[in-house]
Amino acid sequence: MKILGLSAFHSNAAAALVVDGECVAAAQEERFSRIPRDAAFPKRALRHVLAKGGVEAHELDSVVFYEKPLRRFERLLYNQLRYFPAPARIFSRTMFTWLGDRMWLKNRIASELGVDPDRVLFTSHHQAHAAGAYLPSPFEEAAVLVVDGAGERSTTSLSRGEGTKLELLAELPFPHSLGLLYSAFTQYLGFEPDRDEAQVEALAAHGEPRHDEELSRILEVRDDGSFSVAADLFRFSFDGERTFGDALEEVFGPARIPGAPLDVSAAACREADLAASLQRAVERALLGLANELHRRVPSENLCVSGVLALNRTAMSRLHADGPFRNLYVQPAADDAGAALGAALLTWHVENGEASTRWRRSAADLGPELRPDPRDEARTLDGTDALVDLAARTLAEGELVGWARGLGGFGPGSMGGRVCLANPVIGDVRDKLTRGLAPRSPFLPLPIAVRAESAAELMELPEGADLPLAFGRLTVQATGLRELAPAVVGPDGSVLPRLVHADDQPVLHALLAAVERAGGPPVLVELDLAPRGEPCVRGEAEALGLFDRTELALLVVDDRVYERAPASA
Amino acid sequence: MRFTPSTWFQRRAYRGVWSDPARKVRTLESFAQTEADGGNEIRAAVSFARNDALKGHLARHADDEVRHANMFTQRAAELRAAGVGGPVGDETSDRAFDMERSRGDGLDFHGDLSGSPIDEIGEIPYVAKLHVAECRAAELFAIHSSLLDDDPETKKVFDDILVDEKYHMGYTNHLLREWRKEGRASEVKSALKSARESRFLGAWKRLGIRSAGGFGRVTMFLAYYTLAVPFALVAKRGRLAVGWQDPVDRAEPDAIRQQY
Repeated sequence: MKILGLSAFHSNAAAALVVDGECVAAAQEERFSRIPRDAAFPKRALRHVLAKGGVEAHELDSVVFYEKPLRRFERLLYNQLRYFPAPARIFSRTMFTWLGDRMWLKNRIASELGVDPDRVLFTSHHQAHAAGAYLPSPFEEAAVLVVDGAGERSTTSLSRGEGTKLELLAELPFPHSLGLLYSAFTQYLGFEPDRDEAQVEALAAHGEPRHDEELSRILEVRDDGSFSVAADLFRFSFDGERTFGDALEEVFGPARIPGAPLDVSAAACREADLAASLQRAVERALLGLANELHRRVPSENLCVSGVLALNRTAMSRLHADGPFRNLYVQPAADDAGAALGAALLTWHVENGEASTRWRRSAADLGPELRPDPRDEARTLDGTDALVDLAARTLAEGELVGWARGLGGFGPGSMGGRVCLANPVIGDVRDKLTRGLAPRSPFLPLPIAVRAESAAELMELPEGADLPLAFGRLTVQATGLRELAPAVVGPDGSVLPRLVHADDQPVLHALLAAVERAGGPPVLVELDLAPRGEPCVRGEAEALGLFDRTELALLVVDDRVYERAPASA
Repeated sequence: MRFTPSTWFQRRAYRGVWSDPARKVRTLESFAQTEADGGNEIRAAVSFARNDALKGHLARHADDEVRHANMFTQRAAELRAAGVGGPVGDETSDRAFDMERSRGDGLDFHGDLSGSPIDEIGEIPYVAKLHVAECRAAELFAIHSSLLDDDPETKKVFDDILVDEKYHMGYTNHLLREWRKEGRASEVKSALKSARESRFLGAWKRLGIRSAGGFGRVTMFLAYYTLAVPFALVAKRGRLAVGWQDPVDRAEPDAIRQQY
């Protein structure tokens, strides 16, 4: 049975192909269109996954979209009427779009793919997210928490997963949304909503939560774990472009102008303090949700998805202070993962209890690198030579571009398309800023760590092996504080991704070689991406980046490109 | 650049695009996509071309398109990084946006190759289509460049690309001339005529989409202040739900087949 899952139109459109219960390919549209978090219908991504799975569109048994369009339309229409007359301009645009296209999504999908419209199915948004979190997880039963921006009508949901069954238990209604609240503050703080939330998360580590009181009024958490957002301060109910209202500026002062200087080292940085208060308020709400979920589903296992699951600090807090022992975070926690969830859910709904579950491991999804070698490419004699060359280059304090294997599914490439740097040699942050791309000074540097040595360098939480392998948690540094202070945040945290020999043997061998050379088996790992773009898709783009930056070595599968020494 | 009444109208139309920062970024991104798609299509055509000279030209042409895509993408990313552009992925990222992207805010007349692979239509019609597309692209890029005096970085992107466009026009023209000399003048003439006609029809289609979009939006705007008012009054009286709600989907086994 061949099922294609699709997500589109909100953020990070994606396609996932499930054949007989197994996900054979999944990809995000942004990797092909080169537009970060591209939300347009994923034509290229679906073409890619069909080609990779060797499936023609007419052979598909089902194509499943990750939400119920008519239910979402109802919510949009209601909110645009409710806030009359403010959304007049937005109403005309939204209705034109919906009446002209989105209402007829079934036929559009059928015509894009050339399949019978009866084969086009629809899960609900939160079902797709919950399925994306639970079904690929390693657990036989689990409580499932989805904390998102907005689905059709709900923003947050609690579910129970058991075997191949998934039961939605309760939902919180729009507009009470942690995801939308975080995005609105992201915009208020001068960043781009739905893209720069990680910047706010990083900023929070530099501030003091001095606005707790105001935040507790804006985000009210109840004893039963539910919460409400003071909707009158925000415009996200009807406006996707300016998501906070003038009332929010009356509370906290004028919004930061995008691009305005931000001095996080100052004794009191208003933006950092506000980010810290927001982060703390959101974590408090998440813990409330987790406690209520545990009361309803007294399991040891928790699966999480939705945009808030991309917040690594919050996920770490949830695992450390919440009632669940084991944690699984869907790495593509936004709408991309929901495409996968929709396809897997459909497989189990159509095949019942007899169906088997597919489990996701690290670095097993995403597009392959499109080869396009240049004449100066050199192929080394085996991976040992490649590892040796890369380790020597890194030991000299140089940057190495690393594009091997699959490109990852979710934010970042999970080691498949990265720029590596040795954090113990020179000023690595300065080197990356000059040599690769400018980077906010308060953004932490994520690291790849050899899994076997990680416990000596940081406090590894138990019961979160996969989130650590996906790089979805922050942890407190121990030995690493002295060995590589450049990668340790002001609160002593690091962003590790544990590299296992089974998943990425060559990168694992490289980390071992770095350790043999006398340093910790740790490398800074930034996405190999031109400024503002997603990770490189093909060898030509990687080489373009190599030409424009100070990468000393570029590894593309088994080929290497070395920078020619500057002539005297 | 040669100024004609047509270029005068186009300059007026496109001035609005380049003076609006958000449209500028989106337009550059749409150009990047068109160039990248064009590059892929042309690269695919290399393996089907039988004429060795054509093979060589197409290979270089494909590389150029990919490079152009990177140039546009990089410039758009620089502008986005500088805070220009607005959010990606909001409600505009729908079919209306897709349609806009395929016409690039009314600017994108370059490309149109994906529906006509070389192995299906033949070498002469393919090169004729390329030639017409490249001539049109060069004309438009010159207009865009002339409107970007206040943004020298973006202007430079267009100027650099124009150098390659001249080569693309040149080699396609040279090949068409060679085929004429070989006695295939009528084939060349008919292929060029058909390529120009398909562009003309495409322009009408785009105009239709654009007019319908404008008309639809105005109609909806008026409807909001007339037909929607009673419903708005009812909606305003409704209370927002708070706290845990029972999920709608729980008891519906066949829910996966419904859009609601």
